Amino acid sequence: MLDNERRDNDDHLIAELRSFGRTLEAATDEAIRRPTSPESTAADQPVESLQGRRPAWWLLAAAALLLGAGFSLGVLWPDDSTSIDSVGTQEDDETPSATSTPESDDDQVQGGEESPTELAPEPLPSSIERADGSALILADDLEHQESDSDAQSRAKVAAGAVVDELVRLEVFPGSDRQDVILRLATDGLTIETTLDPAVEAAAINSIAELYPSEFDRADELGIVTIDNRDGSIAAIASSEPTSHVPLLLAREPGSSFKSFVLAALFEEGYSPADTVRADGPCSFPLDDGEYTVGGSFRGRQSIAAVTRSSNNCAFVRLGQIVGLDRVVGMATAQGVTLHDGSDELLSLPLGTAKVTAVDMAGAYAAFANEGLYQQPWLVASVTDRSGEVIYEHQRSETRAMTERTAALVSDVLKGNVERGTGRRAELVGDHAAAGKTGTTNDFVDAWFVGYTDYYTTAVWLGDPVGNTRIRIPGWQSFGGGLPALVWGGYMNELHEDLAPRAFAEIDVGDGKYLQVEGELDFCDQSVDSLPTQTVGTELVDTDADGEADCVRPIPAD
Amino acid sequence: MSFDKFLAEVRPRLLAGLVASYGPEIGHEVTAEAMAYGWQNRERLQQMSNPAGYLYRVGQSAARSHLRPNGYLPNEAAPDMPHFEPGLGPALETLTEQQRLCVVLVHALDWSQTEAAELLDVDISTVRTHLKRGLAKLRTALKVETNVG
Repeated sequence: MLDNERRDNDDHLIAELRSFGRTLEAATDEAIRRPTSPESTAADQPVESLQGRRPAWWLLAAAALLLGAGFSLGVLWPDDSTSIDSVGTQEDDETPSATSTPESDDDQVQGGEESPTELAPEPLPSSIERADGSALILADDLEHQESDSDAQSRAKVAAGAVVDELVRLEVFPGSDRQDVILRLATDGLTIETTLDPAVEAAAINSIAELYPSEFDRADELGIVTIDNRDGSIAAIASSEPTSHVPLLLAREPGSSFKSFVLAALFEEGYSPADTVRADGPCSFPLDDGEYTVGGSFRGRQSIAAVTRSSNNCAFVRLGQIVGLDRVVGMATAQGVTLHDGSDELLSLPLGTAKVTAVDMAGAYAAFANEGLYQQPWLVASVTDRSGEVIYEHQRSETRAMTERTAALVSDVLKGNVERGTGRRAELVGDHAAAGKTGTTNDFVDAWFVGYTDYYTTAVWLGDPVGNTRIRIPGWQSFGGGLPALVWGGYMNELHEDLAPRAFAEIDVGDGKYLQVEGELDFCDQSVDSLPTQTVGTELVDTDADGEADCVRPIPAD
Repeated sequence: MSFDKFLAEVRPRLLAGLVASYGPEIGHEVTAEAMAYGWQNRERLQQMSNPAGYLYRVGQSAARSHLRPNGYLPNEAAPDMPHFEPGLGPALETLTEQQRLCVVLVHALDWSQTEAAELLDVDISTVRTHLKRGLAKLRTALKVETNVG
């Protein structure tokens, strides 16, 4: 090999090593480059600006490597006290971005006269801001202080969600996640998000208080909160610092899916007072066999009552009564994408098709919002380094159901919180709250999704990697357990200073008995529960014409 | 100079060397351990010709007990990030500890070959060998073109 070639290659390699050195220094949080290094200048203070923070080592390393020499890796998630612009490069004579604070002006060499070339614009870190303009880091304003790097890393949940959103919105067409992260590191963008620091802090607090590390947090607790006024995402939080669960992970919602059955029913004119067979176990014919669901004998019960007890057999019947296509249609109108599961199965009302937490929150927000659905949004605007707005959120809402339907759903789900499986989610004072628990088969996922007039929140608990049973003990693994508790504590804190608001009053009217096609009614319609356990129902031929006319419960031995 | 002054002065070199060898997390921890050791054993260290090198070795042995099975850098990107193309991080893992220390300390962090020699307690020609071999390994790992045709 020719000497010049080797030298060129070495120059390239050395240059890469130099930028790696900067990354290493940033990740170490201290000055470790030689003090008299030619690259050190007064303006070049990556260390101080990173005090107390430690961005992902692998992320910085990767970004630095891919961007080459002379690059000073900015902080993707700066804290409130320092501006990202104090992370400079050795040729730091560019005007700072719009987000610089006064202290960064002092640190940097100012100069608008020397602008970067078109071919190689100066790498400049971006800033991600909350709705109030504060930089996205959850550091000193939390009540429950954990170590700095922990607080820093928790910001990654929200920051990661921002990256996901930028990809989804195709703000940079053709860019994938990695591309977006690199752009954030170098393009000097300003991302304005909808995150509300007060809501964020309350979410983090409730996780820290109610799901402390003593629980050996093998399972993840994720939270998404939507501001009902405009459908914006006010907070995303998780017990796992680097999680994307709230936005991206699709899991079975269990019974929290039943609310879409309710909405479909009421939209078709049914009433919460209508009754249905509520007995279990129950069996339904499939093309190849039978679908059986457990339960106990409850006679006939109203839709409102079977919601409060989250009666599975009743809801499979209700799904048949209203038609699964209408249930899917309603969920879809409320913005829910069904992943990985057949949407035509009898079991759909029981939440066997997977959904994301953000979809659930957005859907329930439509109940709070009188039937109007707004797609959840996190990014308000993206501005480039020259101040040009390259993306701006456009408000839009669609009507997913009538106002009356939404009011009826709220009426039923309100009862859920007052005396149903969601009891632990009850709010203090006169704030009206509505919600639904969800617990999947074998306790793999547990949810509580609910709303007030102000906010809608989805809480999910589970193991994001595997499909193992939730490992926290006892009652807490039910949707009505820890998720409802966290929801209640968190929403209580959020609503402390808000004026209590009630849901719209609605006249439900009288109910009628709804029979599932192919199922017979009870022989004795006066019985609504039995003193003994039952193991199902048997057909009875009362008029001896060779055909069954009704069913009666079979007591257990 | 006073020993306190020596400790204060050696610390950044020690930190740079230990971080260069073991990464920021472990580098930090074992630097602290080495400094504590230095303070506690200052009489002994003051007798030595190369106390800096000795403290580096203290850090080195502390690091060996800290080292996670996957070594210097995470081998995998976090589950939510796509895998990166083999870059400098993984490439550095193919170097020996000593080669890595020399390459990172000298080329990435701008310390002199003399300073690297002092930490490793070897002479400067050995450092040069480590640099040469380390860079060669990096070139291979990064598949930099070394041959024409």
